[in-house]
Amino acid sequence: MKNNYFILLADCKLVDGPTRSIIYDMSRSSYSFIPNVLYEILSEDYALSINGIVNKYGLENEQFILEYFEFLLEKEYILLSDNPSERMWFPGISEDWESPYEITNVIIDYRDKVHPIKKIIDELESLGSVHIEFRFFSDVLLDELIVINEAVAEYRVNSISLLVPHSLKINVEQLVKENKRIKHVEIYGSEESSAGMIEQALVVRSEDMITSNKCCGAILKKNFNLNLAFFNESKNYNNCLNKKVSIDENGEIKNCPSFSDSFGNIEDKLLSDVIETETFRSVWAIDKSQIDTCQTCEFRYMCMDCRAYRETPEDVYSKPLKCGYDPNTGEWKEWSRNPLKKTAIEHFNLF
Amino acid sequence: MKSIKEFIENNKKDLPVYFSYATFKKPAPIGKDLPETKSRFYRTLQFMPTKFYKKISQSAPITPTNEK
Ligand code: SF4
Ligand code: SF4
Repeated sequence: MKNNYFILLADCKLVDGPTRSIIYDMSRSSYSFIPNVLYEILSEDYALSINGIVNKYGLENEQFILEYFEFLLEKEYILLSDNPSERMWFPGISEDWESPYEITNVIIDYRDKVHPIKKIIDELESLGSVHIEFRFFSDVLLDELIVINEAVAEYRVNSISLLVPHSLKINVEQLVKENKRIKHVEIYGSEESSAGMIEQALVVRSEDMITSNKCCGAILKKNFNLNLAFFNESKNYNNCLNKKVSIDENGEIKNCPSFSDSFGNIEDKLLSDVIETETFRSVWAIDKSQIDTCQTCEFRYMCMDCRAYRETPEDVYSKPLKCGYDPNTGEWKEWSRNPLKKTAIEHFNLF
Repeated sequence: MKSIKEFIENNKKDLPVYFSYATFKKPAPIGKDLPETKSRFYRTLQFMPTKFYKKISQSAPITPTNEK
């Protein structure tokens, strides 16, 4: 092994942090933490053979360096080659992100008011192939699910997520069988928590109560997304709000239902007019490199960025309020108990 | 320098319980690798421009075995 050169596979991306780094394995949607010195070796010392790397870091570190490479081989993050020019056979993957659609994701919230869903879907149809998340914050609109089901049937809506209260008493099995585009159903306020597949859909039952859009934006490890599309979108755009349009429970058109700014009501405004405005699009471009703290965090390209709830409410580039991770210590703590977040929590009236 | 085994052990608690449904569809238990459905050859080749693929396949016939 010592005379060989390493080749990091193109779908394995390195992301550094202040205390540790991560290898993102895109094809397998998994990741490994690595020490920062290994990040340095993989990103800077690729022209050296393993022997050359040992010489660079000193013979006293030989055992560790060989151990690092054994680990990388075992995980299949690298290949070894005795000819450094073979690296040209393994070009990197582009980190650009493009979509042919004007809009790719949509949130529609419901409480006690129905929206002109046929008109909305009709308009979305001309804007792109979209993922729609329908979120129900009360149990008064059971019939609306049937209306939605009928409305999407004829269109190229890509996929659907549903967030519904347990008290809505929906027949999940029947629903996901009838509508193959439903890929995710979350039933909150359930008696016990569980997660499992029913047909094509992941059905999650949780005991939590999700009573309003204020419950959105929590940064949790279980919500991390690890795939190439998300990685590239995060590098170039805001990974939550890019190409997103939302309709809040009152029919107001917004970037995100939790934002205070409305661009008009769906009853009398066209989505296509709204999404064309510069002001509406401005948040799409806020990528992770501009966000305070996140810009150095090793999770930054797998973690959703929330722009609605921020640690410093008046600063649009401030870290997501609902994140309890500190990249400088590598520790997770309960964000809501952090005294430094108290003012922001009160500002957004969260509890 | 630190041993990688020790490093991984110290960082184990931060591995996710499962990734989002959008990525995985199925929860994966802590510390367990996801089902490996892609062989190393497959993984190496899938991102490779066709001309390189041809070059390699001429020199070493590829018989992917464990991809599903
Ligand atoms: S600091 Fe928190 S919100 Fe920012 S990238 Fe890291 S985990 Fe995500
Ligand atoms: S910006 Fe925050 S609150 Fe709005 S949809 Fe995204 S994660 Fe949720």
